Amino acid sequence: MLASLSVATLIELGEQLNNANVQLCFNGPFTSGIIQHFGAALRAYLQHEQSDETEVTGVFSVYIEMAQNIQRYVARHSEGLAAKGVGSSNGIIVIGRSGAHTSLIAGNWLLSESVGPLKSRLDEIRALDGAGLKAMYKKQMRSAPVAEGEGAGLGLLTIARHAASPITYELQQRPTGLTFFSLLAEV
Amino acid sequence: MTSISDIAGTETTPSVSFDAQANTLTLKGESYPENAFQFFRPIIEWTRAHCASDGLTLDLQIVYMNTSSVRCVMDLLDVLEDAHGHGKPVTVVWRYRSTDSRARKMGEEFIEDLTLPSQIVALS
Repeated sequence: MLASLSVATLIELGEQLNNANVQLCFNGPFTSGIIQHFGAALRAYLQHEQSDETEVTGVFSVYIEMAQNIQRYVARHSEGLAAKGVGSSNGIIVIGRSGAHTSLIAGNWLLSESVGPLKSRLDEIRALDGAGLKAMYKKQMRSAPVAEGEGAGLGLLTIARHAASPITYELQQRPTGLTFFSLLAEV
Repeated sequence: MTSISDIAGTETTPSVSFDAQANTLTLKGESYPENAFQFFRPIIEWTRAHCASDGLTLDLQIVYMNTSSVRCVMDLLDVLEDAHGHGKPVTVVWRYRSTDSRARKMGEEFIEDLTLPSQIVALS
């Protein structure tokens, strides 16, 4: 119940976000409308920060790929997630400053069968430099099946290509059989 | 000649318009719909039918695209490349905002693997 959030908790929550330099945060259902409008808020924030257009495009692009990855994952695994008690509000995106960069963190719950393939995919991407990322992107553009609701592969590559440093991730397994996946990119 | 009706742009999909006199198909705006294939399929099909008998200038003024839109635009360019291979007069023009170097780079990457005539033009 929302009423059970005490004032002390709200203050603490706000302080934690401030201490971590969090500027924008969304935790809830990743529907198309919400993704679009939170993206508009993100652009307004970047304008407020007087970011140049190249940076805005980079940050917005990373945000959209992160958000649509979560949206697709939840849509594709809704039954399995629901069976584990995870509803449609399966995702969080946090945006903040870190020095000259804008940092984005995306997090969502994964079913155990999704963890292995994602981990190898991420490790493969993390091992590549800029030229390697471009080559893999072009190759997968050509070979990935053209299908509705295409998977996360190209999205992760796009995130890595916009990032100023290699993307980092964590996978935290819980006894429930779910694993929390978080992904950090600095643009 | 086949016809295509103009499509108004939305927050997440570009406007589509065909100028029959100039034989130019223009896509303008942003493209990050949840399902890009659904949006682009009719455009790709129209282009394929049109280019079977005629040339085409494709004028792309897309400020931002998500990966599945990039994938669809690449399929669209493949149709033009194929028409070029069959001797049809086709051209692609990529326009980007001059202050956005990522958008210019995206255009360069699209075009670098093509042999059809192309231009990259900065919008002021």
